[in-house]
Amino acid sequence: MIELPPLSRASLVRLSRQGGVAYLPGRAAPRDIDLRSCTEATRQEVCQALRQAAPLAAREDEPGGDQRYFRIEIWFVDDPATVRFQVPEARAPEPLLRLWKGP
Amino acid sequence: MSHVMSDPWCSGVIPPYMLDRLTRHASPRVRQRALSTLHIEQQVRGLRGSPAASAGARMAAGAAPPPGQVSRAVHSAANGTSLPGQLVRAEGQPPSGDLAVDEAYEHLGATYDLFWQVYRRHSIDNAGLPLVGTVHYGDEYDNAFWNGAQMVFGDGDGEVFNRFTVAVDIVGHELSHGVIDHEAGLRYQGQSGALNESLSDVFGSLVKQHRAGQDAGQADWLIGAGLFTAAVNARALRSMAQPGSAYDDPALGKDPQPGHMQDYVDTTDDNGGVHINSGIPNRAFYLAATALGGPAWQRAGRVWYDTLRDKRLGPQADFASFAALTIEAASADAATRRAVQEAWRQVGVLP
Repeated sequence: MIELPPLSRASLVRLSRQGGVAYLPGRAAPRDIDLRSCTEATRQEVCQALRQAAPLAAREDEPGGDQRYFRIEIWFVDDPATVRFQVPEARAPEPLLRLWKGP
Repeated sequence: MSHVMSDPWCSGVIPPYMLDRLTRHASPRVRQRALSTLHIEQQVRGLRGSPAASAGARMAAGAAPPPGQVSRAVHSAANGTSLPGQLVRAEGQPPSGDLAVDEAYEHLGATYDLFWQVYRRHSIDNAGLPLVGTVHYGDEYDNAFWNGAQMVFGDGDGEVFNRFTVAVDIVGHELSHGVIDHEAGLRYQGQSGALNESLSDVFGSLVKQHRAGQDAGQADWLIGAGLFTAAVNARALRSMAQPGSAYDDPALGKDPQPGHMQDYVDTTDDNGGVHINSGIPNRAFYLAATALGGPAWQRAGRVWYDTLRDKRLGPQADFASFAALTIEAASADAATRRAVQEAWRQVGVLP
């Protein structure tokens, strides 16, 4: 389980899908969401997805056996540190899946 | 080992790997912030190789059969994600008429045959664990996997990927993940993860060659041939003979697999490049098997299988330690030992 730092200063979220027996780097296609320029509604939607995903975070060697996972990276305003965690696809909450699929 | 930090500045938590990174590279303020936010619960665990997983498979498919007799149960998820789904074909039942179900049934049988007929291994756990598979998983799902208790196959999107049961080596690959979990339990990260992937490719390819009755020199050494549609320029997912040459297409990118340690890809993607750097040990196996000639499952395959079962092969094994164990496993026969040693030298794992 992960509890996120406050997201009020989050500036950018990057979501990518990793792993799988047919892992092809060219199809991982990271999806960036710029929280500084998006609408407030989008920001709320993204933060909600992150809050639901964080408790489902797995270790870096999970889930294994060709099971895919989502990697989430968060950047913050005026802070060089990023937060990064991963959530197995099989446990990914619906808002995270919607983010991955995009508009 | 994780632990809870109770810093009032931030009550959040960050996983250990991130903590490690932050504490090594960030400013003192951020380091403190990272230290204050660590907590990861240990119950988020896979099912791999656990007694609970074996019990689950047994419950799903009945009691263990006697040695030499396979027990298969192929289900359909009906394009949902509940597992194992509806049982469609149990052991001994006639073809269902559902292509994916019948392919999974046949290819699970071919995989059992390799492990039993060649290595006298009685299923995944060497104790007759029933082979449980689910097809039609998800919606246009472009993957197949082993979840610690069973194998799962998607239908593919139909544009880039065909159904994942189409390739016998992919079915063999997934079942081999179960065997690896029951033996070395190679950690799915970095070099140990790439060894995990490579061993699955090796035994997946051997299933295909054994089923076709091919010698090492006759095999195509491709993993997942037939998986891609004709719409993309791709021979397969991977080439054991020539890593990096399996595909090159605008929609897919170029096959990134290296075939030599000098091209090892250091990445945080894909559990640390497990499907990328597996090209190096894959090529080592190909080189050893083709140098020895004859059926690859006999001499090279026996060495790799014995190494997988070697109790000294730990979960964190790297390429060099695995290579050293293969040379020991080959020591009874001088020609085999020479071929194995030379193969690892050619891919730069051994000097």
